[in-house]
Amino acid sequence: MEVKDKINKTLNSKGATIFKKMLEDKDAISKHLKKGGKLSELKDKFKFVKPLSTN
Amino acid sequence: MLSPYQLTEPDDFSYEFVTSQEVHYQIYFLDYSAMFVDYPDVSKFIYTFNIDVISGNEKSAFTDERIGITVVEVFKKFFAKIENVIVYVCDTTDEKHYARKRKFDSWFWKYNDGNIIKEDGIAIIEGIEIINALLVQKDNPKLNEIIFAFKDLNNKVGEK
Repeated sequence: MEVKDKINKTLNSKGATIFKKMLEDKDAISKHLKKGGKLSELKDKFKFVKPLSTN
Repeated sequence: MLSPYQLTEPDDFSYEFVTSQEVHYQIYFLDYSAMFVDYPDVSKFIYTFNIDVISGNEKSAFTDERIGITVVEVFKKFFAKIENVIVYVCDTTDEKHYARKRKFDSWFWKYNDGNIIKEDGIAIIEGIEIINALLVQKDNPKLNEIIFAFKDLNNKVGEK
């Protein structure tokens, strides 16, 4: 059982690549903003959108 | 009755609001549809949502209920388009991600009017747990497929 648990913990989730990318993007953008940077300076690197309905 | 803070649009990339304690929040969305190509039924309208403090003392705002009300208001506007879906991850860089999750969850359960469904997930990446969640409109015509895809992404390779 312990061996099985250990093996399971070393296996990645199917969405590992997606979640890892999301986390890396979030960290990079957050650090940029904390340094006083603007999102517009990152517009070529990330796909920012404004999906809110104004109605 | 508490009201949400005024949401402003300072540029073409984000939304902002300032609290009564002068804490300045920036909210932005990223389009991640391209990363969900393995799930063609659900991949068209998948975004991630982030909120950052860009100035002011974040701790002073910890008990400010209007922040939660404002965030949920943003979600209501986002989900006015029924097909929209949010997938987000919790920041793990400073070990405070469980506290952030609890705070976010408390806002969600307190102010959500029942129209938004939330599913929580924990993905394993190189042995590290990444807390993540799905938000989807309850009337989304692809609701079941979206939830299935989200759970599948959190399953380990080889699991069904």
